[in-house]
Amino acid sequence: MTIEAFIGQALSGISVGMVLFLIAAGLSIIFGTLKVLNLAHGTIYMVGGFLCYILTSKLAHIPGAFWWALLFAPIAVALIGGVIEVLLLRRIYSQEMLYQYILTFALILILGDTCKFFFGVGYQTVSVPWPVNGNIALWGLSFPTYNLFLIGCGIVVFLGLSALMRYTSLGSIVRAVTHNRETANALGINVPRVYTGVFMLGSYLAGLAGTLMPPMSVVALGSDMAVIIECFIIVVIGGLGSLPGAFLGAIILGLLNAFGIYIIPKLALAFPFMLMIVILIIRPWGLLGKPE
Amino acid sequence: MLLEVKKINTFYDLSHILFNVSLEIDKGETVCLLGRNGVGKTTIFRSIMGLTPPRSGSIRLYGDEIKGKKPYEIARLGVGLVPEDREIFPDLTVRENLEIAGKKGRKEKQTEDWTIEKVHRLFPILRDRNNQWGGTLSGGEQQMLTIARTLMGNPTLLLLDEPSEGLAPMITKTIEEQILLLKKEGLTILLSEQNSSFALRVSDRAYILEKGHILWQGKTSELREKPEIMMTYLGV
Ligand SMILES: Nc1ncnc2c1ncn2[C@@H]1O[C@H](COP(=O)(O)OP(=O)(O)O)[C@@H](O)[C@H]1O
Ligand SMILES: [Mg+2]
Repeated sequence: MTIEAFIGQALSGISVGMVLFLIAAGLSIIFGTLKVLNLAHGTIYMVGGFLCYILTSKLAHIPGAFWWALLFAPIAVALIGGVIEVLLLRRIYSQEMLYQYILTFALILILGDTCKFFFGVGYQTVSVPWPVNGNIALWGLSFPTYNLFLIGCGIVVFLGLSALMRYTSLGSIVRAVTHNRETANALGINVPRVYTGVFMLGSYLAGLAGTLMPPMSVVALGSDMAVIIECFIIVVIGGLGSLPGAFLGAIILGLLNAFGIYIIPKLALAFPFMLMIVILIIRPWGLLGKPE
Repeated sequence: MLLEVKKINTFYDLSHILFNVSLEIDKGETVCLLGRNGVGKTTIFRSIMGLTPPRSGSIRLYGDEIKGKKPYEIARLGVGLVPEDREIFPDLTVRENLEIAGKKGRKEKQTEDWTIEKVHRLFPILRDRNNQWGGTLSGGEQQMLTIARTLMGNPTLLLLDEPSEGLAPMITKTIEEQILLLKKEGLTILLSEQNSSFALRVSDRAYILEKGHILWQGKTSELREKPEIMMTYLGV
């Protein structure tokens, strides 16, 4: 492998990793605060992808259609998330965990079939938008600009989310509710509203990932299941509830996906699972998580 | 009457814990709930706060029914709970622990608002700990932070669940002085204790509980004069 191919492969792996980070961060924040493992989180990501497709194709006549989609599709996904939380999830917090799984699994089917109804079973594509299309020359080597753009988005969201959680009063409230909702509630914090807000934030991140992914992949049914499994792997590797953990886990998974195929091609698909199992054995709380 | 609890019955799932418990607290009073471990003191606080709402009976604050309201709504009406397990948020700094409990849309205010500065005057140690993580505080500091955090919500009724539990005698003495200061400020206080000497020193009236029933109620002066009452009900 030439050095150019090596770096190119690494950048492409990390850029897919960054998109997965956005999804995993949402999954992790929602789980931390609401204690709900949203199985439909990947499907919410897929809805974002279809919204990106429909917006870019309907707005194709105006310049910068993709950027309008990037602005509005995640917001629309967040609103869908808000409706799901208020109308459905809110009813099952006090019930056994099993109800969460049944309800969020039902959402996979409902949202998936809704996409199928509107968009059919084919693949949809979105072209790489100007000005992040083409290649960029760095140190005399040439790389796809969109990959670097995705990496930039991942880093910005990671830093922004970290700052939000650490330095704002909103972040303090979320940390407090995450630690103990009952105490927070008794201190006058409107916990149901925090739940809705956090679920919308997590959905927004999934929607953002869903909008960013199509230019370098395709929009298709079934992408939700592939993505949710990768997100589970990321949060297990990094540590459930840890934002830096999700970031690190996403980079590791991205690189593993990019290079596994060169090391032992037959095992490429198994590498992430093998790593997850190793982590579960030697450090069950993940690389950057906290032990219980 | 500031708080009027009438014949409440509270359950945890199928276990019936409180049996027709009634109590009344006037504005400015300090009242204590005495009883051994497991008699239902915490459950009374949880019932008032809306964390475990009673199945029957009524709870009135300034004459308005609060049973059935959510805990955050009850908190905003002026009830502040200092929980038995303290429940400091370990991954918030001392200052953030205080801040999240303040600045909420509270309506009528009788007294001067509690601010971080005012809280620091009452608990100077918290000023030194300002930027430390809540999880790093000692037991006594945690107890002060829990009380301070609840005060930040500007309660008119303070519920203190076993404030002296697990504290060294020196620290209990400090907490006692701080409670007396709050009382002087005009705060109405309902506290629970197993350690009756502490409770009797700070309270005006007492209720003695046994297995979810109120067995005795009266002035603390009476309890001090007739230790046989304590002997009969509490075995001390
Ligand atoms: N979450 C719960 N579920 C079931 N039973 C409980 C729960 N919490 C407390 N109890 C029971 O309720 C009774 C009263 O408990 P509590 O109000 O905590 O008493 P106290 O505060 O006086 O020690 C005890 O018998 C206790 O075992
Ligand atoms: Mg108790």
